[in-house]
Amino acid sequence: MLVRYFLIFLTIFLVTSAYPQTSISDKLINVDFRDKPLKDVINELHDISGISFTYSENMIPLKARINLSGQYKISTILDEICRQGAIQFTIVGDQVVFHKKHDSVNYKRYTIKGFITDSLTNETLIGASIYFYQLKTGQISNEYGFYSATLPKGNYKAQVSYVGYKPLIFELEIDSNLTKDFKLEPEIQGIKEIVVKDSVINLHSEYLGSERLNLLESGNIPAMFGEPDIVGLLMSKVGVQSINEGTSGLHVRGGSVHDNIFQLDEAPLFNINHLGGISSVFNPDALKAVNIYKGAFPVEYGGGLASVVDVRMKEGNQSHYVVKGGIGIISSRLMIEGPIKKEKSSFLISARRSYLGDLIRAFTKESGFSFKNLYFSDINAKSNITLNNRNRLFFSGYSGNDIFEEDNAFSWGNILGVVRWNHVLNEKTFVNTTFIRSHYSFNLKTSPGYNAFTWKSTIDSYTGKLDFDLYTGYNLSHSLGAVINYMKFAPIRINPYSEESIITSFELEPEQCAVYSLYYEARKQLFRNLKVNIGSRFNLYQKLGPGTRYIYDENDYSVNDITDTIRYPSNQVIYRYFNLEPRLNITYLLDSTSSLKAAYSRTTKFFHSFRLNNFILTLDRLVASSQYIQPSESDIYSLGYFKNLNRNISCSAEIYYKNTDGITETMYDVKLLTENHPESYILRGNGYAYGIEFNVNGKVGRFKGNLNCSWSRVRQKIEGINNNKYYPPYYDRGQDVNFNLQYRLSKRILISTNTIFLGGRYINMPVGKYIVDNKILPQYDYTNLNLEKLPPYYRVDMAVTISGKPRPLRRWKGNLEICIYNLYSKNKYIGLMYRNVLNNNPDLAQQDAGFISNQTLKPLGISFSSFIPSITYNFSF
Amino acid sequence: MIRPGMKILLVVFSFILYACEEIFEDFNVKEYKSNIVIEGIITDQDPPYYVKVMETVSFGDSIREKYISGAEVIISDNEGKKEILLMEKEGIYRCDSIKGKLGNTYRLEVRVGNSIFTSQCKIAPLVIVDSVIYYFREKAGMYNEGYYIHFFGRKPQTDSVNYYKYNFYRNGHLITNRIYSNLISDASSSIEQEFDFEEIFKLNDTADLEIFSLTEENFEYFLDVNELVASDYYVFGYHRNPESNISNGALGYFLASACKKIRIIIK
Repeated sequence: MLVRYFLIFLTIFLVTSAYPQTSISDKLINVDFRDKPLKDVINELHDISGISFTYSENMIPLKARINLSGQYKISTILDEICRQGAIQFTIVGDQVVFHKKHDSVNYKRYTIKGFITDSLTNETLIGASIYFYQLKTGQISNEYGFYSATLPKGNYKAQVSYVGYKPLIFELEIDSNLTKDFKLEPEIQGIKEIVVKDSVINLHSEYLGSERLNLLESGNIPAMFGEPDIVGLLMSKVGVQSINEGTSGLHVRGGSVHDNIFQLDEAPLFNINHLGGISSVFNPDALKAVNIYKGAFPVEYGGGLASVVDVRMKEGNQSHYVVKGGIGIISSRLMIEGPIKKEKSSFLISARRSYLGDLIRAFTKESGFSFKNLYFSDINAKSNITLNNRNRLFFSGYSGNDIFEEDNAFSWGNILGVVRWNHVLNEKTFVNTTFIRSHYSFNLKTSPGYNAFTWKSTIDSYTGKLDFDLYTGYNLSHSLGAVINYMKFAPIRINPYSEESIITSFELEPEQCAVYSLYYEARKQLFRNLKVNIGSRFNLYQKLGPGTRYIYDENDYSVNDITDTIRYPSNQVIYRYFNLEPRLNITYLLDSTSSLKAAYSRTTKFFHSFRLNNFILTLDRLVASSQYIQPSESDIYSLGYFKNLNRNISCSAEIYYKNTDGITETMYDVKLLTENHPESYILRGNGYAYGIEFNVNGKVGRFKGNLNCSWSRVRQKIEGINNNKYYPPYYDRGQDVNFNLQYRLSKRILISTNTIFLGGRYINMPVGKYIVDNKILPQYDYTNLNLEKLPPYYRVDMAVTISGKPRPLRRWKGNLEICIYNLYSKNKYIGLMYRNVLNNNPDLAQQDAGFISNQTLKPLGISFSSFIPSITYNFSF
Repeated sequence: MIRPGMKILLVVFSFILYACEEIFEDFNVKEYKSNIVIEGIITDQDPPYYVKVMETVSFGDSIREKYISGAEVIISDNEGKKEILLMEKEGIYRCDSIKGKLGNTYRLEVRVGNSIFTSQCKIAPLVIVDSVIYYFREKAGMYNEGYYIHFFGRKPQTDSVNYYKYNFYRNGHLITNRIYSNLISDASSSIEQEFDFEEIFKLNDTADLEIFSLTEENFEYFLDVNELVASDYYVFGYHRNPESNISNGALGYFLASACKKIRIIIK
């Protein structure tokens, strides 16, 4: 491990020291300039020496003739140029800047800073780029829309751009420190298409394997029941797969569903499902930006072994009131945003409620079905106050709830709150202080009677964060910060709730842990073509009391081997763990249309999640790492090639290799949920995954398409499973193809289709069968696991979006989305069951069978073959 | 078993769509690996008791069970009694002389070829049966019209958690079997337990209720069996064979139990 750190730092050291600080001018070159115009001389010098020149064309007499041939020092040639043009030069990095003679004494660098916002709503834009053509470099606005760039004095041509907005191109004279805010105008969909994919962003500024979702597209991806959802959009991205119909569990680059971190305004979410996965907790109306990181992780992010999905809420329109909403077949939503004080403060409130349960009840009134209710509701709220141009306060909150009632009533949901203070400390420093509280609870209330009880399981998280963004030069910036995160897992509290109940109270001991992290990252433009981000997170993890530590005399931590128990009082450290997470991201611009990126990231997860298999989607037990179950660590290496074929078509290829230590599995999910010493039921191991991903994204005429193809392989080795040999986990799908094609029929009508092909996933089939206790049971062999695959899965969905006629004088805008989910599908199994099948006909019931020639236990695939049409009306005014 | 996640999907889908079941015909059934299956029960009722010795069959096979003849089956107890069981018919071995007694520990030994499978089980106390009643219910909500059986019981006076298994028969056919744990370990508690059986009876039907006491090991075995049967719609994760109390990798169980049988005729 040390060797790896050493190599990384050595690489950086070598690269840095090879960087010619002042030696350009001493380099000897052969030239043959005979009566050549100055312009050609500069171009030729660039070709020979690789030096780039920065100048304003109206400042230098480009037509002046130069006479020089033979071998000269570059400085001599530059002197000659300056003599002819009455100008002077300065060397900045590997660039030569020409400027007027009288400037030379005052040659200086100045900082330009400010916020990049949406011109209509004043909403800050995250990750917008400001690019300086002469310097061939730029900066990206941070999570709060702030940018800062330090440049040599001069005149620049610059561009400010952001996906979905019209780019702003302008001339800028920098001769003092400047504060300049930019307002970008949103591209109006359907009326005039402007280049959406900014080539500058694609090629050099992003972290490898990261993607920013274009939220405007979320409605163009056909969704089940037409529920607009960013999880559907995430699934259409390369390297991201879902395992089952209607589940929002994501498998990213061979990771399990638990290896992803979902954050809403930086607050962790512990369950993102609504209605068992048909919808997610992210209400698209309230969202501003969604980023997924799956290869190179910026140092601000920790905890996600496979991916981090960073979702940011809108801040609220600062200039005028907007009402937005949608009416769908299973849910409706409404959002209001507007200024509290114009240009100073604003608010946003967005709510959703589904009525699926009411519909089901209406249709099943007479059937004697024990179903009572099923719905979800949620509220997003955010407010921000601009105190002055240096200070801004944000408050955001979310509360969501799912209710499912039959004889028993289940409810679960997240509640979170975030308070944030943005402070511009000086020209080059941006400070962000955040307090985050997140709470998740799962509740069950049984039907009344002698067995009546309530079950509660909760997860609490408290986070304090201090981040600094430092912009020290036009090609150097830093991120540093400190985070304290305290978590409490209370897996089970059972209490009787009625007088007659004979249930006694029962509680599993809650677990507490704290993670203290410091992080630092430097982003430096080393040469014109090379940008390096290097940094690390330093983590200290503590499992804290009150708690009990069980002492075992054997290494398999079996219940029978407990020899002693130690009680720890409140806040005493039970277990401590320290680690470093180095991060490196290198971008090399091959030419103006292609780039090569390489990255290495280590990520650590300090708790382990286990899903009660029978619950599938809602109940997890989270176990804090301890001396028995170490934290999980992943090392991800990736390499990518990006190419813009032309203004409209871009493509990329990425390969990755991921190695994970400390993978945990269980074969005793029910016991794990109800026992105080989880280590007895947890198996430990390691695994690896590798794969290759291709993406083509483009626009030809009225067509717009996105094709993602990937191939991956995942293996894991768990002590106690499969004879301790490597085996594929069930979510190892192999191939994954996702093709989204949009066709703009007219200004108002957009047709889009989504085609999915997924390799069959692994399953563990029984090897035999037997009868005990009058039941036919399948016989399993887990010394040879997951040898069978389900057949590959195909699905085609389609959606048509019809926008209302744009009328300049009317504020009301509406569109109608008609969606057919599952237009065509094959092998779309949501599950597999074993049943006694009569005469080879799965639909034949015992009483109708008549003569039974044959009855066998057969594996049956369950799928929903019919398509799901839906219609949603969206509006805003 | 409560499974809200999947239930939600099924509720939603059954409302809007229809489910389709397909047989995996071209499915490569894993190479069949034969395994011994033993099912032995001894109770505090009068003998005979039976021990079945079987072997698993291939998954796609049309036969359901395969009995093993010529096994050596021995039952002994902690009082020093021992009996070598006679094979009554193929694979079914009969125990005649040993009688189960509450609190005694019984040992089962089965020898098939060179392999020996052993198990031990102690007879745990049974729930005290107060009364079993039946009543007529008209169609309402989820209930269909018919006779329902209701059973009242009390916890035996022990300081431990008690486990039971109920087999319920209608006119001689097993219609349900369930397991229960009485989570109260306080012996002084005399709280009554009542069990409503959801099954419906008609006039002149015969209802037979068999109650068995279980050890914790037995209870967990049947819990695993139920899990496996309930996991129809489910293919994630690792399916486990129910954890047997018989050694040497045998499937099945050995149960020594206090037992009570109650018969009711609906009139």
